[in-house]
Amino acid sequence: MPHKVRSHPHQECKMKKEFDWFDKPDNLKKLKIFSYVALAASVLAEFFLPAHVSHHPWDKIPGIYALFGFVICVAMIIFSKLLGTYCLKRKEDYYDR
Amino acid sequence: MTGSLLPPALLFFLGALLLLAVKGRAKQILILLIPAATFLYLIKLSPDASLTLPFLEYELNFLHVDKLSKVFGYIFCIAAFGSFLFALHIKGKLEHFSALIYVGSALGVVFAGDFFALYIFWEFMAVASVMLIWARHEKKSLDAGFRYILVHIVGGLVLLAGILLHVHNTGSLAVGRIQTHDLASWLILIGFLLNAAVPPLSAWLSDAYPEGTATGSVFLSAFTTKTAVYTLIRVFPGWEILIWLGALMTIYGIIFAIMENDSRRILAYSIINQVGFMVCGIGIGTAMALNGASAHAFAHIIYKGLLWMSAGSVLYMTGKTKCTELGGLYKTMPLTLICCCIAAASISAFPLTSGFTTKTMILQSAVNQHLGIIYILLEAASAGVFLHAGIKFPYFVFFAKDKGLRAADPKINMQWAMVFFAILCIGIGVYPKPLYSILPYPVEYHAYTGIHVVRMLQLLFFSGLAFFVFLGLLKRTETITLDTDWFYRKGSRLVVFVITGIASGIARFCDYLFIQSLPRLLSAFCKNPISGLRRSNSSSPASKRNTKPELVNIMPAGIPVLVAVIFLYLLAFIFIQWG
Repeated sequence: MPHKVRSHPHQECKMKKEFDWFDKPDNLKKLKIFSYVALAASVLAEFFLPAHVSHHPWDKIPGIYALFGFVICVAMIIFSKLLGTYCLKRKEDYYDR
Repeated sequence: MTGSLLPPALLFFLGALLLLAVKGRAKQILILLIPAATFLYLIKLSPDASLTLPFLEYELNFLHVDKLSKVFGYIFCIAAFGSFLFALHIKGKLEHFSALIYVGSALGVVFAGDFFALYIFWEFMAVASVMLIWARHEKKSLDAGFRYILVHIVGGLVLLAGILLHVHNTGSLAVGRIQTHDLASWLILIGFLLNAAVPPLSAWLSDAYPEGTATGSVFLSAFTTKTAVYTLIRVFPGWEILIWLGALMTIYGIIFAIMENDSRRILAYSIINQVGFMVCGIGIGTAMALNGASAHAFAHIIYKGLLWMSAGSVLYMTGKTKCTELGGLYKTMPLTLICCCIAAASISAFPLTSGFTTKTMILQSAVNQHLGIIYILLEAASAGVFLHAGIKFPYFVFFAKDKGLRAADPKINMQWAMVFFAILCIGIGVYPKPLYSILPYPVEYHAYTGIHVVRMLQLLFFSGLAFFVFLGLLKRTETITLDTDWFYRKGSRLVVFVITGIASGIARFCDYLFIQSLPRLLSAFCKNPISGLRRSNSSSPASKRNTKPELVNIMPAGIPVLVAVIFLYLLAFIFIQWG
């Protein structure tokens, strides 16, 4: 049986405080900075790698996978949005009508 | 019967029969023992083992063992063990019974040495699996289950037609590589592609799997599509069309998953996306690509099972599946979240997880075969996987906006099952050697080179960046997305309309002809042939009322006599001439 466990308001003070790390703006800010560092590091790391065999002409451009990943995801998001909005999305009771 | 060994499927079928006799703790032990025992049995099973049964002038081979069938056999047992552990708390027997038959049939397909045996288990699989959808006991599930079984019956018939033609053409029943491009091969291929959920034959999956029970969908995610992957590897390796169909599948799955609001439907589309990588690898057909497809199927069954488990846990604890109704669950479901993130990282092929050591084999084989466009499509799909399954699913379910749900982690057996699969996800990622050693061909591949790792991280990190930058466009809406099932869900109404239109037209015509006109005409004719004929143009009740009841009275009496005499002469003539 599915059931919800809701904390009772009177128990709140007695209970252990729930984990809400991701709700705090300070923490989100830290997370954001960490993410930007990770993004930069992933691109910079390529410069420190030894030379490798390139199979395709684009292989030699540093950070090309980062650029490709970003651009292709943006393209897919926008394409899905347009396809959904103008073509395929329907109200939830569409098949019941 | 020849051969001294039993097919692994039989252990599951016997287990299903035994299940009917036990309950409580014994039932729980039984359902865990069967996959474990079958796994150990498979380790001991030698490649030359076989079991043949005579059937008409053929011999059916129910046990054909080689490295390929053993890889799928192992993973099916592992998946069954994890899934049964996840479903251990369920009191009724229907779900467990169906699941045992379902897994047994999947093993039956994997170890079938001929097409007839394969077909028998193929159909068993469809029937057993639909029970896992119906077991949810909701109208939506019932309807989706009916659509699911009807689609699979049609697919099964196409496969059967192909098999019969193939046997007729070649005289051989053996399941093996097909290289001729004739009608029989195409029909068999279509039958397999339907179960592999290749668009446009894929809508059954995203329609039915999300309607399964919280625990049943974990089973569903593992077996049907992967048996199809196995049969494609076995029968159609190197068919070029599969390269393009696979690449199409990977992108198709992503686009639809991005549009979806239902968390379990997102996972259903991501199955299509992931199977696309395998189908593409099968199309490439080199030893490395087929190894990659097998290894990826192995890893996929585990991380996808884990994703369905986490979605199932959320459904079990909150009763909800829509992203618009979920959010903020990280506060109270930490273990489910951690396991979900491990599965999400694995499906996205993060280094140190199982996807990285398996999927990249398929990509590398595309590079080795100089398939530039395919490689770009697969890399695009790899980025997209992180977008929809890697971030979107966990983000909208566990983070996003807190909807006030305070559900705890699920039952302890469900937690253990998730931990078991999570350990395997990381294990295969960190130490892939045991998996590589059981693959069909010798493996000469090193996933962990500096450039592989760095580029994969770049691709994934920047896909993540795209997600958060364009979060506004990804905002969930309370909608459904139309797929090719529209044609038989809405199209069926058109068919019914046309058929009932035609049928009612025919019925009205027949009613007029046989009920209203002819009997009256015949009765009038029999009563008085001449007047009957004369009345033939005025047979409606209205006109009948206007005519005089006894027409014979106003007719010359000689005419009927003349007709009768001519008739008698005719009879006499016939009698004398031919009598």
